[in-house]
Amino acid sequence: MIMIRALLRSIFLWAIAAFLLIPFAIVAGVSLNPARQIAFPPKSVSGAWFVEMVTDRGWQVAIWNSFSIAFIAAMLATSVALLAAYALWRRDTWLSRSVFALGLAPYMVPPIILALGASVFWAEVGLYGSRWATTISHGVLFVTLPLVIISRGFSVLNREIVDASNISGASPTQTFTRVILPIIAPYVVTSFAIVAIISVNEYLISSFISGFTVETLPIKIFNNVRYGYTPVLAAAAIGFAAVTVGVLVLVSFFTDLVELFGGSAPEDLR
Amino acid sequence: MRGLILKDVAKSFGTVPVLQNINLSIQTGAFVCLLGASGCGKTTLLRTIAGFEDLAAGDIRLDGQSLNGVPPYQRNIGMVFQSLALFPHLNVIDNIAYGLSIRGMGRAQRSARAQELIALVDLTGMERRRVSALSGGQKQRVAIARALAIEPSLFLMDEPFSALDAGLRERLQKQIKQLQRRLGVTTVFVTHDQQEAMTLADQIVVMRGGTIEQVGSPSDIYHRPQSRYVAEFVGQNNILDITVKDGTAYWQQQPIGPAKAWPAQTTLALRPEHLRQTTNPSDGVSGRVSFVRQLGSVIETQVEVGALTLIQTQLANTAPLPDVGEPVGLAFDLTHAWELPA
Amino acid sequence: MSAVTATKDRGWIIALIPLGTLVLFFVAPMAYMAAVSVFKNDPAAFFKPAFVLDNYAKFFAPFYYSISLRSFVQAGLGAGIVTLLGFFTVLFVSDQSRWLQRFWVILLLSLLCLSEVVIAFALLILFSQSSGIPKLLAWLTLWDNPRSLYPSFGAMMAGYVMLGFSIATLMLFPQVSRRDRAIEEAAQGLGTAPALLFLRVTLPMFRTALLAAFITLFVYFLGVFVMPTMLGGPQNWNMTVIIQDRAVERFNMPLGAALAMIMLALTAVLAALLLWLNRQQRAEDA
Repeated sequence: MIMIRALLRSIFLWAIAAFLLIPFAIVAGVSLNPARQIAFPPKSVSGAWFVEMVTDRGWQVAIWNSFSIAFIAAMLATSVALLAAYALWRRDTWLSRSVFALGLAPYMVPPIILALGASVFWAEVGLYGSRWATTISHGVLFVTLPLVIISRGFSVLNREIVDASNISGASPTQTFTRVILPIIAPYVVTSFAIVAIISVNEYLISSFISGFTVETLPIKIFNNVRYGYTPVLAAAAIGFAAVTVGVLVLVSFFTDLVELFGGSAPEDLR
Repeated sequence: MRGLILKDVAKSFGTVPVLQNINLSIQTGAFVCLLGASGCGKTTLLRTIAGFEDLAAGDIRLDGQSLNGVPPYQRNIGMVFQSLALFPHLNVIDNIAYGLSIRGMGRAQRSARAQELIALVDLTGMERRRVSALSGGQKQRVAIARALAIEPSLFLMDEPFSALDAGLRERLQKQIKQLQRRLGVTTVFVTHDQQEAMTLADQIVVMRGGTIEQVGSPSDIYHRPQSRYVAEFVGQNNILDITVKDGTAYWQQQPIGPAKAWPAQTTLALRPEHLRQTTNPSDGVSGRVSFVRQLGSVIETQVEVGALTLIQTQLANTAPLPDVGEPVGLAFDLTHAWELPA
Repeated sequence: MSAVTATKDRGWIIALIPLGTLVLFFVAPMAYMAAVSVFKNDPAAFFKPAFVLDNYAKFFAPFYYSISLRSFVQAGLGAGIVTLLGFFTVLFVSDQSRWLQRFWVILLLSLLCLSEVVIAFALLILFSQSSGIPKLLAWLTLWDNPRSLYPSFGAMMAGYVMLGFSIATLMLFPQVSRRDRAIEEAAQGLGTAPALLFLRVTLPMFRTALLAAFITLFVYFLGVFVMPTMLGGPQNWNMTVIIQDRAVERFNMPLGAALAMIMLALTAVLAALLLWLNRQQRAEDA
């Protein structure tokens, strides 16, 4: 009886995993088909579409746009989150608490509202359509996850370490750079990676603010689906997914992701 | 004027006073213990000396310089924290050399000095270890070495040994006492454990409710307590409210021995080792044994006399002693009785 | 609490940088959008500053009511399916080995981070006549005249599920994973049937968490844009798509802004509900 239940559970999990993975498997197949139509299974295997993706000027520009915006946005989001988390950890005042709450807010607001607000704002400021507008908006609006992750890092930091550094002769700035920063570093790096991934994958906000002048990867894929496409799109989609998974696997070597998301294996609980 | 001088120091958290009338004069090279129960203000006082808390009133001077307005990182004080607070991202030698590196000392010099301290605290060979790989006692010694590396004018310790087991604690107490004698650095040590204070201190400062109850050598504190609180806080003690008539002291309406130059009514403190068990009822008072235990070489007996309890101790020997519930007589050696000030 | 005192603590200045950044680039745009929502529409420029409530009045037309209703139904259905599936998944995964858990966390995290556009595209291919399920069914001779399964309500809902699944699971993961299995084991030891065990012991433990997940996903699905656009037709469009349509395609920013403000108000109510639930949960844990 227990065996049957365990079997049913396994089947359930495999079914879910299949549902989540099969579409991508098919896309991978489509991307390897040398013929010009979208077809699965592929008649033969060819990497031609991948080659076209990295050599085609349009795709190159889209890739560059996405990654350059993501990099700077991630720097911005992580820095702002670090300062906010540090300020709150240092002194629990109404000011630092308000800043923290404000930092959590963007995550709760539907993206369409963020996108609309940002576009009227940038139009007013005169930077509507500029890549810098998109970069800044991404950097500020994605501050929530870094804030949560870095705060987690601070919460396990022994406060007396700051006192110890202080009494050893280090000024507050020195304490920050030589003690706090090195200890918090893994959380900062994880946050950076996550914001970068989110930014690269984001569609709505970037399309509203500068979609017609700055074509990022998601925007290009969306437009292509609308206006007609070739299997190179499949190659782009798979490439995208592969990079996302790749970065996360890398992060998983740094940080125990299972622990970060609050899990504990049955072995641990004995 | 050398040493640590605290004058009329007071401090409040909001409207709640936590330190009042703190006046202390500590000589250079002295080992002073701040002793008291939780909440008496001893840690607050230590942190105030270190500069982590500010004063509401008063003055703190170290070697003639006032510390008012001076931030902790400019005070040249070494400190060991209750949680030790070693830097997890640095190994042993970098932890110890941290203060030196902040002061801009060159690499070679830093290394040499750190090595000196490592030898001093018996950690040779552990230089490159990560902090997480150290035992409790080893971490203690790294914390001590780190604090002393900068050659501080003052060395502060905040209940560093409280989380350790008894054996390790005693070893470290001995080591720190010897180390301090050797270096001659002025030391202030906070503890709630009166045995620890008696072991380590040249001077004990008994604190209570944010004020100082008494300052004195261990012997002073033990034999000549200035208040009932101190008499009962340090070691076991018998507090006797007596009346004196015709040169005899009476306790619970019973004569207990010849009175010294005491007024008609007063309170005495008599240590348990100055009570003697007797089978002769006219020697003292009779009561019933309520509790017996052996602590090392000493046997402690608690005796109920009416509503009150007396504590008596003696060296363990082969003679059998009355058990719990049995009647016993106690005689008082009043030559060692100490009159508590009113 | 440590403070660098004895001197004036200027540390609060640190908080000013994130404060300024957030106020300037998050609060100001929201405030400005609120202002725009009461402006007059101007076909020549973006809009003309004014104070009219016409845009809000427009919301009370039957068209927008039906769109709102449709949005709620779609969001509710999606949230319900995903919460349920997600809960079971987390329940089972949390008892697997650490290695397997890592696989699932990375899979779910990847889906969470992966662009809506890419996910929609993958499903588009899955439902396409040339490469996906229709072709498979034709190959199995189960379908004579295969056509693409999109755009359709079903395709769009599949997209919803794939999108929201990772959110639901990662939200529920901490609590479900850390649950006190001793309770279940004790009940099992006493001979409780598995179905009863689930309904009476396991499920009630997570009432609050499940409700919180449902509401979060509900809000999330109200705000999806790409799924209805790529996998659904105009008859499936939700409020978000309409906002974009009015604001950008039809150049009526003020109307779009007003509709967005209404949506924001609704989201705020649901967020408040979530916060209240969170407090309940914390009281329960204590």
